[in-house]
Amino acid sequence: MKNLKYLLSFAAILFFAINNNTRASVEEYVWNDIKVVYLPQEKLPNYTIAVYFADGALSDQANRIGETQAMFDELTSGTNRYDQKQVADALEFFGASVDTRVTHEYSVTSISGLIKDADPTLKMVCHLFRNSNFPSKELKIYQKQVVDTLNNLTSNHARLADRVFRQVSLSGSIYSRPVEGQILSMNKINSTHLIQKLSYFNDQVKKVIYLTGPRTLLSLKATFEKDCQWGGDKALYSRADSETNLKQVSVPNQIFLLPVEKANQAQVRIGKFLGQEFSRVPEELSTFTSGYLGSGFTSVLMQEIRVKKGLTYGISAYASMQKNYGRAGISTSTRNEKVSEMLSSIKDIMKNLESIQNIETDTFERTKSYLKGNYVLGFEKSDDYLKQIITFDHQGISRELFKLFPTKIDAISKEELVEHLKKYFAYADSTILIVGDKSLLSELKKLGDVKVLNTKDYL
Amino acid sequence: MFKLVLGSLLILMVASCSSRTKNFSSSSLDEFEIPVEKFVLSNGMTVLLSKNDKLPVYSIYSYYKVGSIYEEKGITGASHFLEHMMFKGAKNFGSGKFDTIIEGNGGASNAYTNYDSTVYYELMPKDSLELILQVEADRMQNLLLEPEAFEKERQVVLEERKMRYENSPRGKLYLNTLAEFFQGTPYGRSVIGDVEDLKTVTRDQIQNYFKQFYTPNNLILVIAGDIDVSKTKSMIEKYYSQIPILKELNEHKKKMEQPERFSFKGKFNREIAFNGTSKNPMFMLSFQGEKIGTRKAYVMDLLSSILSGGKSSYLTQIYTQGKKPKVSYIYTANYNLTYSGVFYIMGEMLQGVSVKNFKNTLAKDLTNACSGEVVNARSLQKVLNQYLVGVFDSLETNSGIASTIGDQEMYYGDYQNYKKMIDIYKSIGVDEVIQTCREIFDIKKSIFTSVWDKN
Repeated sequence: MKNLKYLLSFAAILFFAINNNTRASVEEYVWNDIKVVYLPQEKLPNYTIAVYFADGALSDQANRIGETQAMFDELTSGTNRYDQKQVADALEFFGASVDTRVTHEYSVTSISGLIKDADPTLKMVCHLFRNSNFPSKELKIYQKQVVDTLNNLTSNHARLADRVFRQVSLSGSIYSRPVEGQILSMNKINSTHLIQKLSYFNDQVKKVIYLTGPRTLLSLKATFEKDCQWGGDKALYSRADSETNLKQVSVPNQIFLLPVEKANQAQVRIGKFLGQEFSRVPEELSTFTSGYLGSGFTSVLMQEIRVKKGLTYGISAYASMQKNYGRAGISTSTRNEKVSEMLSSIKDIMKNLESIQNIETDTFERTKSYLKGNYVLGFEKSDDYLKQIITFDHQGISRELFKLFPTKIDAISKEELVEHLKKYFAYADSTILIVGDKSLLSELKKLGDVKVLNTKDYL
Repeated sequence: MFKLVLGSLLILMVASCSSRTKNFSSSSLDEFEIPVEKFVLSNGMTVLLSKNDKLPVYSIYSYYKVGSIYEEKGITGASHFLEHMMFKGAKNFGSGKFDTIIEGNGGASNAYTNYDSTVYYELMPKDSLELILQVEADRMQNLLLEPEAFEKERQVVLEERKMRYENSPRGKLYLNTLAEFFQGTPYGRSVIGDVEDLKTVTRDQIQNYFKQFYTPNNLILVIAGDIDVSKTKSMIEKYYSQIPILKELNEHKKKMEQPERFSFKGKFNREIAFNGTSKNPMFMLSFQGEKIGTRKAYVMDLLSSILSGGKSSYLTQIYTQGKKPKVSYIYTANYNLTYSGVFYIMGEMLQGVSVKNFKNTLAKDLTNACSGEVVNARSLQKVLNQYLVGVFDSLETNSGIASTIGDQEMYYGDYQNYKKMIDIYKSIGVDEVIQTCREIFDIKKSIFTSVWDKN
């Protein structure tokens, strides 16, 4: 009874919080034909500017994978006026940071610092976008560092597993390409390629400017127009609006083993490619389905695999979409001798959850409360809120969802949960990757067909 | 110290700003105050409350002043193991109920353990506060430590150890380097514990440890967020004040805090090569550091940032951007602990770089760093500007505010210590940083460690 009282009052708080942080506060403008989204944050003297580019790593040439990431990473490597040290020193003196997140479908350059220095910082960033010439000396250093890091990826089994799992589970789709590049492709990239790539992003790719901070940020309009020179009606290309090759040839229920030396713990990845049809699944359903299965300490997988069996330190589930594709999966690790038990346990859990009778009401309701509460906590930082807005805008999800999220979560039925658990996480449809000691092979063979991989083929 | 001092300082400065909505400027940050009410219950428990009604949520932090330095031989890892068991249930709310209550009320929780403290936190919607205080007070008094859950969690902790250290060359290097550097002192043991101890520690030993240290006079409770301060105070009185003080606590801790336990016993001027799965050599060059709170510790914070804070910093430029780059990354850390400290440089060499030559070059470059060319008014100002941005960024959340004032109270006994720290940072000049640089970077008083598959 006590808990029910808290839950009811919690729902009221949630409604209040979301209403007060979304609907009234986001403002939109158009600067030189570019949409501008402003989220006021008046309490602190800091700001974030995020420039969304409607293209990402899918624009890489097939033999130059990693080119977009390299272009954004090397944006500060030198211009016709400044060398890399002068650029870094100027930005860091303001305490500013400039960083670009490249995904397959889009890229976001984030600039942050103190509001008093926002204008000179933006002027420098615009100068970089207009004048970077990617000196070959600096590019060679960058390439050497990327290649060395990839060559040494075996020293981080979790990162290695993530990289290889993308390639095997999305095999056949262009989304299997690693955004950060490959050893072979990296050395084929030269300064001219990066200059051309920058020019493409400046002059052809559609942009949206997102701002959060004190209102004086809006005075940066002139700097965007004069210094960045973005806008007009030419830069309209949007990767996510175009047709994308979604053909996939990976074999479901295939077990892959990637042997690594001296591992006394195995990384486990289980998951599948989600095609365009999944982009029509409402956001709250994918969030709820993965949340019920493996988000939070009381989720089904955490309880069954960690708490009851002690098989792992951590296990999580995810189901997420970009605009044209998505991925659903489970990520965990366990001691070598327990890999079979881990896989069998997950298989049994997923089979069990195919029946509505096995959806426990307590866990079902608790997941709703957990997701709704944590949703509000996500609004504490303006940066995080801005990131969520960018994600929604890219995927074409209405920002109304911010305030409707609790109601929509409450409306989800057990039937819908079971249906989507089967869609996203059916064990038989999934690709399985184990990164661990080679001695695991014989044990894994008892569970099904096993293909042994070579690390070099995935770097 | 790198995190505790600078991070805290900047967070607090920002937090102070949040109380004003206009006229902020970097030059007058020290004028701002974080609104905090502090009181101590009759059983010795310290409480800090900070109201912030930006959103109808709050963060609650419980700082237990016990970490791995209070463990004796045979029970290394007890503090951390106990941290795991604190989520397994207590008498009044029942077995396995802690997480279900937190998440069922829309919150999230976690914890961390270090050498000096064990800290639990929950991020919650507003109206759950009374319930959460009851749950926290229950687990502090009536922890169940059920045998079956204890054994399952033993396996989980061993898996965590593998993930963080045994299967991570970088983790292995860090763990082994601190073991060598702080040899013979409690800081030479791993916080997560030795494998043998983790396999053999008993439920009774952990229960005994719990009774010794989980007492109100060893706890700082911090709440920041949308709270009614007066009502919160009454609730805390109601649920915590009847918990009996442990009078023997101070005497017991005093024994464990004897200066001789922490006096430096390691040997300098050594090179140690560990075998690990890294194809490129990873290295640490460690110099004697400062304990938390000394003026020199603050100076070393500034020095550390000048050397490796950002792409334009001295070591980053030389080693990752120079004519012949030698590493894929490099950073420095000024790690100040309650009774000791270490200043280290860590990085990963590129293929083909000789480990032996690298150490000599690095030593020479560190000596060269102690000059006006590297340490000057501009580089000091740049570091301070960078700190400010970090501070303002952290101040946006209740967690940032709670952990900042909690850290100050925990390590300095005064949540307001940030004001003194601001003054100290401002008072440090170029000459003092150069002087400190020359004092600490004596290669004969260092330990060079590496991990590599060819070692």
